[in-house]
Amino acid sequence: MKTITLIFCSLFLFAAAGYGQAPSKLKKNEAEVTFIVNMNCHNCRKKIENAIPHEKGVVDMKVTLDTKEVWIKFNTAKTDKEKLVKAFEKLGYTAKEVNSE
Amino acid sequence: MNKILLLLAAVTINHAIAAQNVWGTVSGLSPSGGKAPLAYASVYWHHSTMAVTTDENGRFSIAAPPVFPAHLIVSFVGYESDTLVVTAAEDALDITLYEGAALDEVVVTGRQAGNYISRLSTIKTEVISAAGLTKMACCNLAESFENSAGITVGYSDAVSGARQIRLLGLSGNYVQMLDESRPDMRGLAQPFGLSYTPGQWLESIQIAKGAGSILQGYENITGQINLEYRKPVTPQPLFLNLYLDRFLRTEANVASSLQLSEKWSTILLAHASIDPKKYDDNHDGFIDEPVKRQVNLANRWTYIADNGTQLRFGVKGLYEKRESGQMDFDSSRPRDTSAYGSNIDNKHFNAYIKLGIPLGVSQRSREDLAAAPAASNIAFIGDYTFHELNAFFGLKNYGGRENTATFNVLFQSGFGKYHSYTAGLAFRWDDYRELLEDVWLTGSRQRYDNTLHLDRREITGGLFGEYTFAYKEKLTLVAGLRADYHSLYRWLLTPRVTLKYHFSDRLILRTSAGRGFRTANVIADNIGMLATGRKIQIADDLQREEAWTFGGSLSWYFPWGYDDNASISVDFFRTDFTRQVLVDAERYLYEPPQDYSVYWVYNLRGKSYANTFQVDFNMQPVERFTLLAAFRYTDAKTAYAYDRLRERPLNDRFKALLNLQYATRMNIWTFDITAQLNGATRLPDVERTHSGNRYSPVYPMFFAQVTRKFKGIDIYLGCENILNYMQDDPILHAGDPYSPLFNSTIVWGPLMGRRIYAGLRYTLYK
Repeated sequence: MKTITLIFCSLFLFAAAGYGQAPSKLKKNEAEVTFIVNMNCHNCRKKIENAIPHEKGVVDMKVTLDTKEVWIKFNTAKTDKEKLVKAFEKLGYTAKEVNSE
Repeated sequence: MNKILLLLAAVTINHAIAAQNVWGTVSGLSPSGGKAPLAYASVYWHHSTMAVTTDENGRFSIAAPPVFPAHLIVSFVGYESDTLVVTAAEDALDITLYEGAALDEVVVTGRQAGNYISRLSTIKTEVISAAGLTKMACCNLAESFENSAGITVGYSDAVSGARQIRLLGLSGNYVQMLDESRPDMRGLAQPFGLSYTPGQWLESIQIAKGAGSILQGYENITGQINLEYRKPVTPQPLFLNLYLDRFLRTEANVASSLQLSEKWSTILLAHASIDPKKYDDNHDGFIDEPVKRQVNLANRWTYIADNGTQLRFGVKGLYEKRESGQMDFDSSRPRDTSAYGSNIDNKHFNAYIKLGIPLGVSQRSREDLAAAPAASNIAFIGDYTFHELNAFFGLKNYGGRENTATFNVLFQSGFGKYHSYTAGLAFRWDDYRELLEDVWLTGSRQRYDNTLHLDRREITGGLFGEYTFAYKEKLTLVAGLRADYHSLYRWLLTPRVTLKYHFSDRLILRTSAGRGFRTANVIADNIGMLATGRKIQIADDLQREEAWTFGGSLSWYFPWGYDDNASISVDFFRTDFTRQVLVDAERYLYEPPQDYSVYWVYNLRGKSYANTFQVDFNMQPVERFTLLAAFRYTDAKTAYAYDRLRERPLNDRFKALLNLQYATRMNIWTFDITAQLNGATRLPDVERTHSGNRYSPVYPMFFAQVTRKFKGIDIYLGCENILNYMQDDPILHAGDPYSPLFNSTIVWGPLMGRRIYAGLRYTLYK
């Protein structure tokens, strides 16, 4: 019984340990870009989430259906914005970069 | 500073265009190239009463909301509802709905949780989503529930390997299983039914506790479990799954959908599995889990006409063979009292047809129409099921054949701003042919036999009505009543009420109460009785089963964790039986002259109830890391032998559960860990020990899985029962299987040890 309690406790601790981690910063050779993509359904989102992460050079991605925004962090040595736009076009979507200051 | 200005500008612009209309078209399904416009689809703003329906060409125009961005919800019967985020009264919206579920609720965007408590449904509904279904091996339905505290999955006995679920502290017999809202796995299909639905065929599972809707009949007592299958119209035309585990269980699942034209689509679901090897890891001489072979095929069709008329039909066929018993049993040799063996063959066939016709817009003024988008429609549902079960357990033989046909007509409409209703007619014809050749030996090896014919025919015809009052986002009341005339029991009156109240956006109360009935299928419900050395004594005055279930839940969503969306839900349910069929292995204890080697089956004369209390907690402590913790406590007591209120045997008193999931960026890697703590169960005294109440130990179970996502392919590797925990001797008197004390039904723990498995899922996107 003791070991069980121990295991449960450690699982909870494991859960708590991760709390409050700072968001990762850009490393060398990394850049980020936000696109507005003409997606408006869950299935479009699924399709994008299935394909884009496996494009060469994509490090991270977040899809926000609420704002139709797709945020991508990528390796500048392996890909660029134009290639990413093309990847969206291949899936049947248009992607326009959002200019952020 | 620039950002603030921008924001201000945006707000001003939004206000300026707020007076405009948002317009667009809604299309159904998206076949290669073209789209069919969807007439009479509902279009409305979330958190608002503004609503419209689309015209014949699928067009709509709706007054813009006061503030952007706003959630626009588009729904149509039989389609997956969609929520769009409209940021401004922009160009025409082109919305495509995919064919989906009737019971489906609006899904507000966000990262899909594996298990969650639905915020929108009226009855407390736990949803196991597609993401939840991939957390574990989920070979079949039974394993899909490991991440749910509300449901316990166990074995009926250690010979047949039949899996049973428990909900609200009662056997799965009292749960109504639904296949896209049609009753499924009834009668003779029940004992092995959970292994007849491959988890990979499913899109989601909805578990609704307590008295549910009366639309699906009167048989639901503790809850409804609805299974949503993969759909003919999906953006994923091909899905393939392969699975292999340490015990050499091999499984293949395929779902292939095909869009034949703009109107016709079909899906083929196939499953084949084999458990080829005999294992005896606990060294009791018996195979731990039967050697099995299963082939399962289903084909479903959808036709959607321009005017919104929908036709769906499908067939499903299954064959399963199980062999079990002692390791040295040879099924080719004639049966005698040497090695104990068991053979179970199941054949199942089902065909169904559903036709839904929109009756146009009811005669209401345009203002009303804008407020209440409910259009009228009529639906016809026909269903036919055949099931054959042939088995022997040692010397006992059992054969059953079931034919069931049902026909339902439903009419759905609404009036005024807040009212809608469904009324209908139901007809069912049930024909059971069952033969039990009960053979048993006494302590002195004297052989007795008894042949029981358990044929039964039930014809039921009924009327039902369900009224829904939905007042804004605040209050929803559903009151249903059905009256069925039953050929054996005459009139059955089934009232059910559910109420949902939003104290605020974040605090939701749900309550429900209602009655349910069913006829016990004594052998099928208690198939484990056959895997014992006992005589089966069935009273000849068995009545129907009848119970009231009431309860409720309180869900609180609060801003905590990474996504500011943690939730706690507390619920309590009670089921009170007014009539029940009891199976009693311990009657000799209270009435000493009674024979100890008999299973007594008789009517309840006193009290029988089950109380269940459950807490669920959900949160996301950091990005892509989710935590689900749940605890359930059950108190189930029944008056056996007329006046002894005893704890129901083999019913776990509690279950605690913790599920952690961590995904790396873009879900490339997903790690799942589940820990369970399973509570004690009362062990019935089937061995004449007279030692008072004995309990099984509390034991933990751990599960882990790693999934790696590639483009279109997921590969997963996992382990069930990591600690290799096994029940010591699940079969009592395993060394003497023909003695009256031989009993394999006292199963409270895992029969199989550590199970390492691997599999892959391939999905093709259009």
